[in-house]
Amino acid sequence: MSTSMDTLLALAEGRSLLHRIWFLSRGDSSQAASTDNLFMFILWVCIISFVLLLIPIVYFPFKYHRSKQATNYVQSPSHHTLLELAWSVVPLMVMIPIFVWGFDGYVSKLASPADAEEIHIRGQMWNWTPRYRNGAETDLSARITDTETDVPVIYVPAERPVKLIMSSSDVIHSFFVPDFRTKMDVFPNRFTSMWFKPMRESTRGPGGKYIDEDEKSPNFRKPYPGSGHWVFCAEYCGTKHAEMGAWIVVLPRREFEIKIHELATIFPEGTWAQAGKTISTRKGCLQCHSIDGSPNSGPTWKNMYGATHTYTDGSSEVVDFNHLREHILYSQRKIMTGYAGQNMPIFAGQIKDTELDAIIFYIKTLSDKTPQPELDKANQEPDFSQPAQ
Amino acid sequence: MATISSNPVSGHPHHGHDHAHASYLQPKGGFAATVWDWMTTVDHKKIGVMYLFAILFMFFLGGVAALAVRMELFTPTVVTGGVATGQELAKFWGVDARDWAEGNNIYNRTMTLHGLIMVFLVIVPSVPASLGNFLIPLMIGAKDVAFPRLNLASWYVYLLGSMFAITAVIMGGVDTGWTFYTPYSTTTDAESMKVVWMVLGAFILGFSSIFTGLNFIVTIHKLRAPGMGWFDMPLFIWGMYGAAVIQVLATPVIGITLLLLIFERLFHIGIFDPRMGGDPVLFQHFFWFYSHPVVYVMILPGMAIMSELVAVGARKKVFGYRAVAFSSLAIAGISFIVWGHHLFTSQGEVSAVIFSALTFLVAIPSAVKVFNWISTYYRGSITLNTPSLYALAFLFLFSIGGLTGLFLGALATDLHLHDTYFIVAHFHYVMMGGTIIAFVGGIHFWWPKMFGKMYNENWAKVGWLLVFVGFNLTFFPQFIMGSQGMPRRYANYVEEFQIYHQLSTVGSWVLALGFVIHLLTFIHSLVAGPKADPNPHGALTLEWTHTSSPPIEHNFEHEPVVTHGPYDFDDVIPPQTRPGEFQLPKPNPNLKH
Repeated sequence: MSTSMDTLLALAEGRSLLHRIWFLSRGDSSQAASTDNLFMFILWVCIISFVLLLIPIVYFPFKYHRSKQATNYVQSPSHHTLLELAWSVVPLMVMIPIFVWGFDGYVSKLASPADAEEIHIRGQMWNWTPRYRNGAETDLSARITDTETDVPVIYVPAERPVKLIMSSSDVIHSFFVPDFRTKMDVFPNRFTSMWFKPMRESTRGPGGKYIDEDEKSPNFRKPYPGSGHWVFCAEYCGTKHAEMGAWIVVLPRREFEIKIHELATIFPEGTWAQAGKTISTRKGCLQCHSIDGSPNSGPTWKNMYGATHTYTDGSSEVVDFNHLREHILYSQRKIMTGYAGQNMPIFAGQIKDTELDAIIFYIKTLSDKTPQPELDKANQEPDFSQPAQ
Repeated sequence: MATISSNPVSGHPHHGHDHAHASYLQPKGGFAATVWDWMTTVDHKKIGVMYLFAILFMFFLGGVAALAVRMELFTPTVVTGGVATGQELAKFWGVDARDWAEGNNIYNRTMTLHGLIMVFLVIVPSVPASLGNFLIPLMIGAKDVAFPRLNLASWYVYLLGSMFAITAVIMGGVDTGWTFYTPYSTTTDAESMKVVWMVLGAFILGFSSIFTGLNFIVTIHKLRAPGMGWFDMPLFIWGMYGAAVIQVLATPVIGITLLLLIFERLFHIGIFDPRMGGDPVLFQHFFWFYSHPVVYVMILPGMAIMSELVAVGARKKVFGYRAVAFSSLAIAGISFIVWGHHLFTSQGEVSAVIFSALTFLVAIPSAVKVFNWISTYYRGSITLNTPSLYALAFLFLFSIGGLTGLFLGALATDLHLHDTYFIVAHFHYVMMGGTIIAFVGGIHFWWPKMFGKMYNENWAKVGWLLVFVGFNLTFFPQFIMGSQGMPRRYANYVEEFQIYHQLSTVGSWVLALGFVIHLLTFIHSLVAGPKADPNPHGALTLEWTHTSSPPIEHNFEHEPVVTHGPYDFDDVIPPQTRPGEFQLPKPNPNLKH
């Protein structure tokens, strides 16, 4: 493909040549485009500032070289209050829009829409495990590079907000999707979350290579829905830190539904929610907590997720995954109003992380207030008899 | 201070029985006696020179580790049939290509080694302990630092800390990264003591840093020569003062944090590890509460050198002296309240917004310094010797380093760039393009003063050119691959990043060649360099005007009296005066002592 064609294509896509050179790919999520706009704005601020600095850095040493100073040496002032004030204030003025824009982008990357598709992600040395809305877990992995390292595949629906709820089994990891221009650290003692809205078509094909749209190119592959994005671990975590990748596959909504249904049926021990029910029965949770709204010595789990709880100390908060985690592990820190004197055991040290994840997942499925992705009409009931692509 | 002699300053040190009038480098008796003299010396100049050689040696070790890291990254690891190719380090150490995880381990240990050595053993002590020790008393007209024995103690503490670090390396090296993030650092190599040795090493080195900082603060407050008010001090002193304040205030925090880390490892006290009830983010807060201010301990002394190089190179008063002086203090102050910008990706929190705003604020005083230095060149009388070229290289590289900080202070872009090679490039442009470049320029500048010998200017310039080109070739591609998503601390990478890694590796070879040429130039200078004048650059600070090259053991023949500002070139020296040809003005009899 000729350079001029490249440029034209880039302009058609709304991307500058500099952006193409610097990034190769456009960002593939809704926020990526705005992050790139900010990036390019700062880049131009940097380039202009640097050139302005560079002119005197290069020019003065020649212009005022000692060998030329025999006759024309003039004393110059060594202080100029107005000038010095100006070059303190002007950079500050330039930084204010960058700060505000950055803050705005940060908020839009952190605050997820209520109807986001929630996917739980567990990081462990050196692997990522996704768990979907219906409790299905990916046990598939795919070879996507020339190395024999298999990385897990994470399916996400296209053009839908996807919220990842992440935790770690061991050390700190960081879930980084370069094509979505975002990342979030993953901790062993709390849940963190991030969200993105992937575009339908990826600029990367199978194997992680950029898709070349030129049919004569050896890299030619038809862009198709279902191509994907790299996930890298961005927080150093030991021996195979560099191999702790994953591959996000973007599927059209309907195919995504079919896929997670299929994954749920091939999962031999049942779904994640079923596992949560089994574990909470074994741990004795259900002796005190009902699942159908009937009163018991503990608050019912029915519609608990997303409800607002008040406590004996007067505070109140909305029940979310981090809240449930804290209350299961350290039940005595805060007592819900009306349940004083009911001594729930402290489960810290008594329960495995994965068991805790499963119970929380189960509690989520019992609530109407759990965010449900809106299915559009055509996809209300996917035809599960058709094999996924 | 008693008047030692009424002899005027001359370029020829007195040789005689009275050592006070001889060069500080003059051997005291035989070899053993000389070694003993150096080992027990309380002379700030000798301690500074010993520090200089130790730091340069450590820089060499850290540099070899860096070259090894770049070598490994020349090609990505490809495993076919269980056999790895592209693992240069593993091949070098004779590791079986089927055991390719071990190749990663070697890389991780090498990259940790590079970071630990360069941060704790090179950049933190670099300028203060070597040039600072040597120059601060000379520049303010003092006989020595305020606490000479504490100064010697700091040197031995530095050696002790280095021993602990080297012990850990001999035991196989640690793979924690220089940041020691928990819970990885409290659980890795659980059966071995080497992480404990390494952390103890960093803990001990902190005390060396505190001793030096404390010494400088008291010296600058109490030992200035008559006539030298705060605003008559060279800007070098102001920069070192700002750095010393941070060293004294911030280092205890890392000391306590590292001790807690050791307690957690040895006694399983749960502070940072969630399995024992601790919180890993707490460690990050503690760590960066020290480690962010400490990047200014690294850069302020580099800026301190810059003010001297620029003023003397342009033979002109530093533009906006007070702004440059106060910006050092402003940087020292604001540096304590920006640590949270290392944790933007740790939790999405409102506090991130405040830290982002403060981060932009801390950029202003640094920018002010750069503008002032560039303005100093305006209508100057500029020479392009090696120190001047290094000053110009600093302005070029530090500007890039500073400007790329804008991407990281802005929250939305930081979420993308955090922990990628963009960060690696950014801090190398600031730390190496800033501090190390200024340090190397400063060594060239004060070399004639320290050793009384000139170096070969042409070879030094060749070295400069290679360092400058090699540096940009090494680190500029890292900005691009970082933007595209190459994470840092990766032993392996996907193919699309290979071209940038290869450019970077080739750059590291050019950079290394530049440093080798500098090393050879310096060795040649020591062996066969021509004798240096007392003031070869025609500078006006006391170490040039009031003592010989090298200085006599007691620094000055008689206590200097300051009669002009450090940069009053317009008043003191006609612009066309060649170095060595000017006459110093007579001391002002009206000046109050």
